Amino acid sequence: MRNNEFESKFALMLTGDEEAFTYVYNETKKPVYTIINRIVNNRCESEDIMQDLFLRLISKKDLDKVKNPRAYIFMMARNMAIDSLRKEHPDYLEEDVADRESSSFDERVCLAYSIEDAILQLSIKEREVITLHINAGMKFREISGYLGEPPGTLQSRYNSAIKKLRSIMKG
Amino acid sequence: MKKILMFSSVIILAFVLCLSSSAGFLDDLFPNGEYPDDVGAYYYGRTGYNPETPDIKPHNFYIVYMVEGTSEERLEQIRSYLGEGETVEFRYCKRSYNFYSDLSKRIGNEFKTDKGNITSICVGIGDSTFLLVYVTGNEDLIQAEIDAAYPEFKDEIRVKYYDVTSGIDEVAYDEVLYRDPVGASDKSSNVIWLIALAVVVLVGAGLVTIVFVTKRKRVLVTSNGEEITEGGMSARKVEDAVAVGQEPSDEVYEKIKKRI
Repeated sequence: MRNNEFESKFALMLTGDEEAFTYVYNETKKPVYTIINRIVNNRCESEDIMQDLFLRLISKKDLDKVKNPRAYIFMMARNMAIDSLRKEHPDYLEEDVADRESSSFDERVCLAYSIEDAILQLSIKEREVITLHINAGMKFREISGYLGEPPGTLQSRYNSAIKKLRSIMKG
Repeated sequence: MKKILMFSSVIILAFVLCLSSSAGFLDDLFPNGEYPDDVGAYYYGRTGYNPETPDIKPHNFYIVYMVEGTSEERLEQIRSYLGEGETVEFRYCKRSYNFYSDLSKRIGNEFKTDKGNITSICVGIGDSTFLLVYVTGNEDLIQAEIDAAYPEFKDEIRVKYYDVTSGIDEVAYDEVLYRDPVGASDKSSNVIWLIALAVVVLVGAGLVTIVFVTKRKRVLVTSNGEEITEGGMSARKVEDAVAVGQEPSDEVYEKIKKRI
C-alpha cells in the first residue's frame, strides 16, 4: 500500500507536482543522504549531490516506466556519489576488490568513537552494501540487479562488514 | 574464522552463478548452470589498473576449488575455457559443492536448535567446516565441525555456539552443546558430557573474569548522539546503529524547491 502511494506520488512528481515532490523527498531524504555521504564523506558535497539528484529526477521525462522508483532513487544516489568520488580520486575505486576484501583487516588497529567513524573504515563496497541494505531497505537480490554482483557475494560482504564494525567498535 | 568467512562467501556465490558477469568461463565450467561433481567453489574477480604496477593490465581472474585428486587433463580442460586476459588458479578441497549442498539441506531440515531453526548454511570449502547461520532476532553463528565430529554424518553432530562479538580471529565460544539428532545417547557418554560441561563452565568462568578485568569501556554513539551500547555488541545492535543514518540540512529541500 505504502509502495503504491510512493509510486503514484513519484509519478505525480514527474509532472511537476510540488506536493508530490515534498512527499518523495521526505520519504527518501534520509537514506539518500546517508548513501551519498557514506561514500563521499563530505557533508557539503553530499548535499550538492542530493540537490542535483532531485533536480535531475524532476527533469527526466522517461521515468514513468521505472518499476521500483524508490530503489531507482537509491541507486541513482549511489551512482552519483561514486561518480563524484571518481572525479575527486580517479584511482580510488579502481582498487582490486578481491585484494581489498581479503586484506588482513584484523591486523589493523581500529578505534572509532561513532558508528559513522567506524563505517568510514570499511571499504566503499562494504559501505555501499550495508547502507543499501539497512538504510535503503533493499534486498540483496534487488541490489544485485543494479550492481551486477551475485546476491551471495553481497550477503557475504554485508556479513563481513557488520563483523568488522563490531570489531572496530570493540576497539 | 576469517578463513571460514572467506570460504563461506564462495559457497554462497555458487548459488548465483548465472548472475555472474563472467559468463563465458562459467558457462563452460558449469554446464546447464550446475556444479560438476569435481568442483568445490570458485571466486571471480577483476584486477583494476594500479599506477604502481602499470605493466600489469586489468584482467579477470578466477580461483577454482577442485576436489583433491582432480586429473591434470581436467585442469587443462578448465584452463581452455578461459578467454583472453583471464587467469585461473586452482586450489583443492576435500569434497564437492554438490556434496555439501545436499548435506546442508539435510542438516537444515533435521537439525532444530533451542535458539531457533537453521535458516541458511555456509560451507568452509577449504577446511571442510560448516558455518551454520540462523537468525532468530539476534544474529548468532553456529559452527559445526562436520568432518571432525559427525563422521559420515550418521550419528551425531557436534555444534559449537560461538560468541562472535570478540573480533575477527578471536572467536570465543560461550557454550558448547553436543546434540544428537537421532536422540540416542548412553549413560557413559552422558558422564563424559557432564565432565566436559564442568570443564567448560570453569574455563568460561575464568575467561569471563579476565574479560571483566581487562575490558575497556567503549560506547557506541550514533550520528544523533545517542548512546547505543557498550562493548560486546551484537550484530543486531550494530545494524540498529547503522540504521540511524544521517539527515541532510533543511537547506537542501529549500534549494531544490526554489529551482522547480
